[in-house]
Amino acid sequence: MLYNLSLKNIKKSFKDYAIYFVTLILGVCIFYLFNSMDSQTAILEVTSRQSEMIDLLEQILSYISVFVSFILGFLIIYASRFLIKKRNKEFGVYMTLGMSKRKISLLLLIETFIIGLISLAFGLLLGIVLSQITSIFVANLFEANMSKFTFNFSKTALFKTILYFGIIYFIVMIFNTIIINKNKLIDLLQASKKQEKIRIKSSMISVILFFISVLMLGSAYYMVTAGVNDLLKYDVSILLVPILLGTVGTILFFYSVAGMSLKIISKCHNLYSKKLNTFVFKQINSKINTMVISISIICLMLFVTLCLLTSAFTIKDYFNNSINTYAPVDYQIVSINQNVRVTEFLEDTFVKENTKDNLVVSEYYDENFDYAKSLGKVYEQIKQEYSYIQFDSPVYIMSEADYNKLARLLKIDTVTIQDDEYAIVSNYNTDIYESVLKSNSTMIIFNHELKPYKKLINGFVNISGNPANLGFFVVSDQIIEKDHLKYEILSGNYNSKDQKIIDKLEEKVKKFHTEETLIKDTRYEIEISAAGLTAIITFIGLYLGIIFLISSSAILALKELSDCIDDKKKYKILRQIGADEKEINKALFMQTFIFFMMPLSIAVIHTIFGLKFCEWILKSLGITSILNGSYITFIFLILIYGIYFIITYLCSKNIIRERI
Amino acid sequence: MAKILKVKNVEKYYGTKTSLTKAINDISFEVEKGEFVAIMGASGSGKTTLLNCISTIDKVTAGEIYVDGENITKLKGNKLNKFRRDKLGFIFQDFNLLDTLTGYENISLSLAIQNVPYHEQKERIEDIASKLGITKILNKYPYQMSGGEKQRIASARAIITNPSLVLADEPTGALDSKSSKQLLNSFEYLNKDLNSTILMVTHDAFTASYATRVIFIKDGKIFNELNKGELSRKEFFNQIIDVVTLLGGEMNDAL
Repeated sequence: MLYNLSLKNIKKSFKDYAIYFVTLILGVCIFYLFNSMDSQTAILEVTSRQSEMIDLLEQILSYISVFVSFILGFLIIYASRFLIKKRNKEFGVYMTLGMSKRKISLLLLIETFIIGLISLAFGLLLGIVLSQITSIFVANLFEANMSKFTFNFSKTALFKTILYFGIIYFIVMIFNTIIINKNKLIDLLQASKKQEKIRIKSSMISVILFFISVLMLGSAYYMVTAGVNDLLKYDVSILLVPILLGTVGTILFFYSVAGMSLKIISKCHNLYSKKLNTFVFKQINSKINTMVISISIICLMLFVTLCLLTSAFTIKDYFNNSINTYAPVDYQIVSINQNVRVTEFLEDTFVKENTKDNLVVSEYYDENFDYAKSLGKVYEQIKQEYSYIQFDSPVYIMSEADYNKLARLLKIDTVTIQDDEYAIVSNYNTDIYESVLKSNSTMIIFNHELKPYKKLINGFVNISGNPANLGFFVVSDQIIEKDHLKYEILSGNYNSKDQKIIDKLEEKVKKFHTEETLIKDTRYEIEISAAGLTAIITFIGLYLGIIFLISSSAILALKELSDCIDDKKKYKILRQIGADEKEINKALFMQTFIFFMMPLSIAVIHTIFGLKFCEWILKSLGITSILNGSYITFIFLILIYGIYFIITYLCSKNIIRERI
Repeated sequence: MAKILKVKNVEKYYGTKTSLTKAINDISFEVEKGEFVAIMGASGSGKTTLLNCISTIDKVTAGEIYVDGENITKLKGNKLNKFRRDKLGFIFQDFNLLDTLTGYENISLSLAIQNVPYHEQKERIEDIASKLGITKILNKYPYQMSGGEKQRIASARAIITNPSLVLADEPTGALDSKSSKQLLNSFEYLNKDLNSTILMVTHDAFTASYATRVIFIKDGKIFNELNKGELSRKEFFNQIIDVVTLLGGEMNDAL
């Protein structure tokens, strides 16, 4: 009998459960998707390097899954609490009919079990279907070839999903039982009659707190943007200060913003006393005031999501484009000591036959010319700004002829200098040497006094995935003291597109003088590790981002819907005093819209400053703009958040509708 | 005198063909401008159904209802809302105030819906508040008010738009006797001094004795009708009690 009753209950309240179901199914689906990497990558043709990356990704994702399951667990417990609250009267009636609390708990247990089973089944089904599509995306991210398109299915992910969600549902059951046992019959029966206690805050306090919160947020914003250099003079843990300021500021903001803005709006009499505006503003005010903490958490979650997704997409985008620029040759071998001549590499007949454009250049050093000296007049100033730089490290010098030969091969700018001039080549933290050139400092290199060339040359010597050349000097050939040789650099291209030959050449590079310390880089290796890195970053960003987005939108939607059920009577009153349906729907829309936009708009403001900080960090990778990443992020945001908003509005419209 | 309300052969059936309940069985009556009419009857006599039909919350099965000469049984959708907005004022047993709004805002909302500008809203509310003695509670929230205060705010909301007809459903049902008296005095004032037409449903003889005319309903039909005429309230009350005794049965709880 209990089983029948629970089944009927679920059927009856399916509409109310809609958001709950959607959230559960999405949660299960995404959990499966990200844990089924093993089967999605199994069909890929991968090199050992790629499979290392995939193993690493799987490992990271499995750690994150634990964290994600905590978030989903909290979300599901929160959601089921809402649903129980809604059904208080029903439980009260059961109790007056003589049903024991134990039986009611059992009833809920069965319901949770059924709902869990259904959502798990649908979520897994959706996950398995989607994983067929995402495997293409995965192949693309790893730049791997898909051998053939076959159906993929991960048993481990399936069991893992069932296990994790099983545990979550079990905890939900325990929570439900506790809640039921704590309730008193009188409270259950009169739950709907209980008048809402409106927490009225003194508007004076609201105004004061509002200004304090703005001040806190402002100073946190300042610290991570304009004041970032000052901030990081100290330990990295100082970052906790703006984080704490931002968090407390956000909470205070939401605590006071409703009272504050209501005070202002109620002074705009014509706006406030027009149509149903009074009602709308008061509704939002009470809604925000009753969930300050939840709304703050949602806002911060959205903020983290936006930063995470934008950074992830930016890094992915950047790596895909930067390799062509910063790794324009197929291989490069750099000898550090004089025992090995890099030209030996070309003596191998296979190498000789299958490579072209081979070029050897040299870099020299002057023991009297270190990094500090190379900064000329601006040394003190730079030292203040960039405290982390090693100022006694050597600076390398290349001859004009060598540089121009290399520049033509690497497709970077060549340079023509006078005998008494020096040029600086740099592509990372370029503002340091820009300021050196601007200061018009003369340098003494190999005992020659040299004047600066008119501008900084944007270039590099060593190939890599991103700009990493802090700077080296180019001087006239005759100035170089040949006995001060530091590096010999061999660069070249492969002659063939044949993968087998390329593989063999890669092998040759790897095997060349393994006993000596040589720096060896190939474009292929750089590509693979960049792809692996971007794949990992993208996956983590997407996984956490989507989970955060779903969680925050689901909480907002559930709160709005359960409020709507409580507020049914209010809409009835509005109809009685003559408000027409159009106005009522407009009032509902405005309410839902502002309620959804409130945490989002603050999160977006946070994000603008947060991303400035991300940009500052990403600058070390050579990324200067994060705009590209933010477009995709906003598409994601609008999609998920928008879907929840629309479902919520339509459901609430349905709830308050009255049929005559 | 102008007829504000004309109820003509109204019937209201519930249920299916096999189990039919006649909640209202052919009722006709009229209310003229400036009248204060009470409808009395036991639980289940059909008085609330009748009120719901007049207030267009419910639809009649047969018959016609005219308010200000307009047949309201034919109205649909937004015309219904517009009719309620312009012609009717409501007072309920459980007050039906919006608990997120102050007393003032509860009243002003009905004016705002009619697009009355702010300054006029303010003037009219201050005027009615002083007349009903609720000026001091205007800035309170419903949960800070007593039952009587809430009901007086609800009354102010009902008549602020100068409706043709004020409908009151058991207005004293949730009030103690002192608050009831205060409220009924306010009703008398609204009726006599502000010339409001009030139609009130009640099962309480004391409440009904404040009206100028009482219509008794039993089992969906009009059972009797009393006019106050020149009688004092006490004498009118005794007459009502006589009819209630005659009605017998459950109506005894009206004593």
